[in-house]
Formats: sequence, structure tokens, C-alpha cells
Amino acid sequence: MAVDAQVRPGGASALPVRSPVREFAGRYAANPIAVVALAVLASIAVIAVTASWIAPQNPYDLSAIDIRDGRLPPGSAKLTREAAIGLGIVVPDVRRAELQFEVRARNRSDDAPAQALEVRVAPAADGGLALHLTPAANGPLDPLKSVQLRGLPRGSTVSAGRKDRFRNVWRLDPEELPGLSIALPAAASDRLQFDVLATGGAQRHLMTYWLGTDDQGRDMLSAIFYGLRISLSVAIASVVIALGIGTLAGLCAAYFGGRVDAVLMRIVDVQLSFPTILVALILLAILGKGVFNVMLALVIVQWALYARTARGVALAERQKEYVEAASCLGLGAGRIILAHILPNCTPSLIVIATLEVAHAISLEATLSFLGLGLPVTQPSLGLLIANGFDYLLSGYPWISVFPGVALLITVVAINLVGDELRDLLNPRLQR
Amino acid sequence: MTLYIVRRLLQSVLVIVVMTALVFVGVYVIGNPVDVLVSTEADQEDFERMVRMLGLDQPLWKQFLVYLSQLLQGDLGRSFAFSEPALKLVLQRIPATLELVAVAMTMALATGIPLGMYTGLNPHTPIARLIMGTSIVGVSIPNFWQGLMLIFVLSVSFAILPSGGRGELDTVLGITSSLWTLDGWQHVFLPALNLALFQCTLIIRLVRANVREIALLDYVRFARAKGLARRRVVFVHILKNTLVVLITVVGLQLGGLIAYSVVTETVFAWPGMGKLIIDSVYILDRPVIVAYLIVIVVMFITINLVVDILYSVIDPRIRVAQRGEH
Repeated sequence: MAVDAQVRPGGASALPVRSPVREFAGRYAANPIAVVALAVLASIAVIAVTASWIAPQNPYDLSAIDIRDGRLPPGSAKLTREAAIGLGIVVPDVRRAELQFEVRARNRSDDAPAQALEVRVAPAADGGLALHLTPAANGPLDPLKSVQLRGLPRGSTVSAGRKDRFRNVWRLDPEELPGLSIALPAAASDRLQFDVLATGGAQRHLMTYWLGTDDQGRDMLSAIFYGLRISLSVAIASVVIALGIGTLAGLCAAYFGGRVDAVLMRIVDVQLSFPTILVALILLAILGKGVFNVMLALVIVQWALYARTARGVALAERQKEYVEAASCLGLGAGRIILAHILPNCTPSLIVIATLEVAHAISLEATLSFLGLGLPVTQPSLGLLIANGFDYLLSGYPWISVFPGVALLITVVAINLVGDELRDLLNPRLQR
Repeated sequence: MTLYIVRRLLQSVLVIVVMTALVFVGVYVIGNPVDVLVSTEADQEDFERMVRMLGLDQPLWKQFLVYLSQLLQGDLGRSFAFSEPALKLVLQRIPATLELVAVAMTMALATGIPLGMYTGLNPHTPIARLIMGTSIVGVSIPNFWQGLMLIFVLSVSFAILPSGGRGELDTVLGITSSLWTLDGWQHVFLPALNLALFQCTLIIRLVRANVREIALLDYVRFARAKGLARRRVVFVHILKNTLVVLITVVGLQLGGLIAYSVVTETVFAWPGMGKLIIDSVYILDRPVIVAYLIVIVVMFITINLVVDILYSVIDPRIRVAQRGEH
């Protein structure tokens, strides 16, 4: 065993004045993996906070998603749907008919209406009717896909059209639209009424589903962004609450000792002897699911760990002279605990709290996956994965793979950062 | 020693009593199973008959007394859904869970201890770094998603192993298990692997940390200074002391495996206790939930008790510390 007597190049001796924060940052930066993890974690945090602005789609706005886009593989395009126009045309007198008008339409609700179709009706030489349907170039109906005439009097014939075998519907060939004529039966009345149905329009590319869509036609990338936000906020909120409660309990146990200590620590011991997943499972099996219940379960599961850690560190701190000095000054227990002992316990607590955020995210995801966690109105990553489970076996793996990857990246990044913090703050590993 | 065991036993009994009371309060105060069990066409009369049949019209304290007296007789009520004794339902599912846990535990220990020893003794070699790098993913990966990916890769993409269920059973030496058949092994492999991976990474990390710590201790330095072969130092001085810690680890493992088997069983449709509790929670089958919780609490407390006692037998310092408290 070699005796470690390394002198760090550029260490404290080279720069006599160096703040502890910069010193710490410098040591952190020495580990490239931890730096990358921190960068990833920061990006994830930004994504979670800004999800509603940067997500390509609001995945829970029912007007934004289209169920016909369901289960599209990653990289598929979201296209505009075809425009469709239905017109009811009334010609009061076939022999003197001179009608001309244009129809405006739009492909999407947020487009401005544009000229789509020009309709001209004139009497034809043989007593029939000439119908000119001209789709506007580059209009919402261009290129024209189908045109139908419905409700013509029985016995009529339409040039360049095919009649449906059963219904009174004429399908027209879009190529031969100009110069279309309708031959009417002799017995037909002067008044003519029929409908024109036209569909068409360029399929404009609206967005790309980079990670595919789920069964509802929801963009997975957007769903993951929103899911990250929910997962992270539930986890962080529960960690903060548990940290507060646990630290306070641990500090009190250490400071007062005796019976308070014995009772608190026995509860902590019993609780920590059960795996967290089991305690959370029992609680939620009893309480039922819901955001509040999940957070309650996460807090109950975690507080004991902080209590034990805080007590351990505080016990060591309590022996130190500065605490004795503080009590000699006549300061109250509350002030000594919070203002003197607590600041010296923070490094260990920060490390544990960081790692516990990862744990809480995983736990919440697991509970949500089991159907005991968040309700479907709060779709965290765990719920997204659960939704995709059914489709995994039937050939749509991306629905549960990508949320899982997002979950994994988040948890790994937090763990790497937490591990590095622990190594840096652990005096036993310092050389 | 006897005093210590008696004290731990009393403590365990106290915990069980507190837990059963908590479970009762939680389960019987919240949720109404009648809504779930009665069909939507049922009229008020059917509804009331159901309530009377299940004893839910009685005041809460009366329900609790009935529950307690039945509990002491080992009767935890009948499942609402299966109309079979709840305890029997839970106990029937135990062998499947234990079978899964046993296979997973063997897998985890057989790979975790050697890898942990290696990385602990050679923390700076590339292989050790690779193992530790992989293990951080292993610790981070959510168990249920890992299961989904195992199914996706091995059952859907390559179609090597079945995606769920328990295989053919056979009875050898009075033990009925799926481990006696090839089909059974094919079915148990994937869920057991899923359970084992997480525990294996935990074992690697625990053994590694322990070995690193022990390797720095004076007696190891002394053994080396004495000129003992590295092999002897590793396998006698370090491994022996690591194994002491491993007893606790195995105890915790067993508990962790039983707890995590809930997740694995749900993913792989393995007919154990874990799947039963999740299914029962969905339909609010309260007697089964209560029976499961009590069985699991008793199991855990027994495991912890055995581990504590074993530990105090092996390491006398613990006993001294416990006595010192009083």
C-alpha cells in the first residue's frame, strides 16, 4: 500500500486565494463524465420547465391531436388533411340559368380562407345544363382529388362521369371537368337542385413526429416533454418536503437524545427495514391513487433516510466546541439546531437528496406503471410507458421505448451527478 | 443472547400488531368495494344485500373486532372476487413467488460477488471501470421498463423466450415447481433475470465498497507486510470479512426481491403474490389486500429478525452494543 502524498498540480499552493466554491467547481470539472451528466441534467430541467413552449404539440389539447395519426412510427410526417367542399346549387329555371360564383375555403382552422372553386352554370344547347367547375390554382382544393354530383333528377346523364351502381351519385373525372354538361330527362321540371362535393388540396407538411405517435395520435416527443415536467415536479416536491421533515426529526433526535432519540430512531429503523417500493405499494394500495397520495407515499418513504443521516452527522457535530460555545452564550435549542448544527450537516444531506430525486422519479414511475400512482390526467413518464405496454407486443415498440429512454437518461444523469458530489464531499476518499 | 432474541421477538410482534391496525384503518375507512362488485344493473336491494353479506353495514369498531378475532383464528375473510378464503389465495401464490426469488437470488449472488470483489480490488483497471459504468445504468434503470425491454428484445424481436406466465409444473420429492421442467425454466429465466439484474448491481456496489474499505485496514496491510501471497490475503483476509456483511446483504436481498417481484410479476404475468395484490387493488378486493399485507409484513419481520440474530451470532460486537443501551 503506497502512502498517498500527492500534491495536486495547480492546487491551493499555486493560487493562495481561492474561494471554496471555485475550488469545489474546479474539482468537479476534473471529472468529464460528471460534467456531461450535469449538462444533460440541466437540459432536462430546462425542457421540463419550458415544456409547454418548446413541445411541438400540446399533447393534451384534443383539438391539436388527430386520432387518424395514431401509432405512426418515428419520423412520420403530420400532414394537412384534404379540404372538402359541399355545395347545394339551386337553379330556378334551367333554360335561363346563368349562375356564377366562387367558393372560398381553408385547409386548417388557423389558415385564412382562400379562393377554392369557381362555379359557373349556363343553359346548354340541347336543353341541358353546362356546368363549369374550375378549382383555383394553388387554392385549398388544388390538386382536385374527387368531385361528385348528388341529387340530380332520376334519368339525368352527366358527361365525363360515372354513376354509382346503387345510389344517385355521379363521380366525375377531375381531368375532364371543363366543359361538363348535364343532360336532363324530358320530364324534369324547370327548377333544378343538386349538390356538388369536391375534395382535394396539397398535403402540406405540418410537423414531423420524430419519436412517433401513441395510439391517440399524440406526438410522443411532446408527451415526453410534458411527462418529464410532471415526473420531475412530483419527485422534487416530495424530496423537498421529506428532506425538511426528516432533517428536523434527525436534528431533534441528535440534539435532545434520550427518549426522543430512541422513539424516533426505532420508527426509522423499522421503516428502513422495509424496501421503499413495498412501503409505497402498501400505502397506495390502501389510500388509492392520486397526485396527493403519491407525494404522501414518497414523503413517508423518504423521510426516515434523511432523519437517520441528519442524526448521524449532527451527533458528531454536537460534540464539537462551537456547539458548546453556542450553548454557553445562552442560545436556545432551536437556534443552535437550525443556525449552528444544520449548516454543518448540509453537505451529506445534499448528496442524499440529489440521489433521492432519482429514486423518487423511478419510484413514482413504477407506481404509475402498476396503476397505483398518478391518475391519467397527470401523465408522467411511468404512465406513458404503461400505455405503450399493450402495444409493445403488437409491433409498436416506440410508444413505451422512448419514454423509458427519457426516464433512464434522467435517472442516470442525476445518479452520476450525485455520485460525484458524494465522492467530492466525502472526506474519507479525499487524498 | 436469549434476552436479545426475546426482545427482538417482542418488538416484531408489536410491529405486526401496529401494522394490522394501520392496514385495517386504511383499508376499511377508504374505498367501497360494493361499487365494484355489484353489477351496474343492480338495484338498491341487491346493493344492500351485498353490503349485509360483506358485513359492511356494521359500525367500524365492530368490523375491526370481527376482523381481529378472525385474524387470530387465521381467517382473513373471503375474497370478494373469488369467494375463497383470502389467506388461502395468498398462500397458494407464495410458491410461485419464492421460486422466482430463489432463481433470481442465485443469479445475482453468482455474478455479483465475483464482479464486486474484482472491482473492489482493482478499482482503476478499464474492466473495473466498465463494470462500474454499466452498474450505474443497472441501478438507474427502472425495473419495470427493463422488463419491458427484455420482453421486447428476447420475446418479440428474437422470439427466443416466452413473454410471460409460468411454465409446466412437475412434482419431485414432494415439491411442486416449474423448475423441474424445461418449459418451466424457459418461463422463469426472463423474469428472474429481470429481478436479478437490479440486485446484482447492488451486490457489486456493496461488495466493492466493502472490499475497498477492508483493503485499507491495518490488518490487511499487516498481512501484506508479513509477505503473504496476494491470493491468500484476498481470499482469506478480505473475502472472509466481506462475507460477514454479505449475510445482511442476502437478508436485505431476499426482502428486496420479494418486494420487487410485485413489479416483475406484473410485467411478466407471473402468477405470484405480487400479481395477486395488484389485481386485487384494481378491483378493491379488500380481504385479499389485507391478507397480502399481513403475510408480507410477517415475512419481512421474520427475515429481519433472522438476519439480526444471525448477525449478532457472527459479530458479537452488535450484541454488546444492544446490551449497552440498557
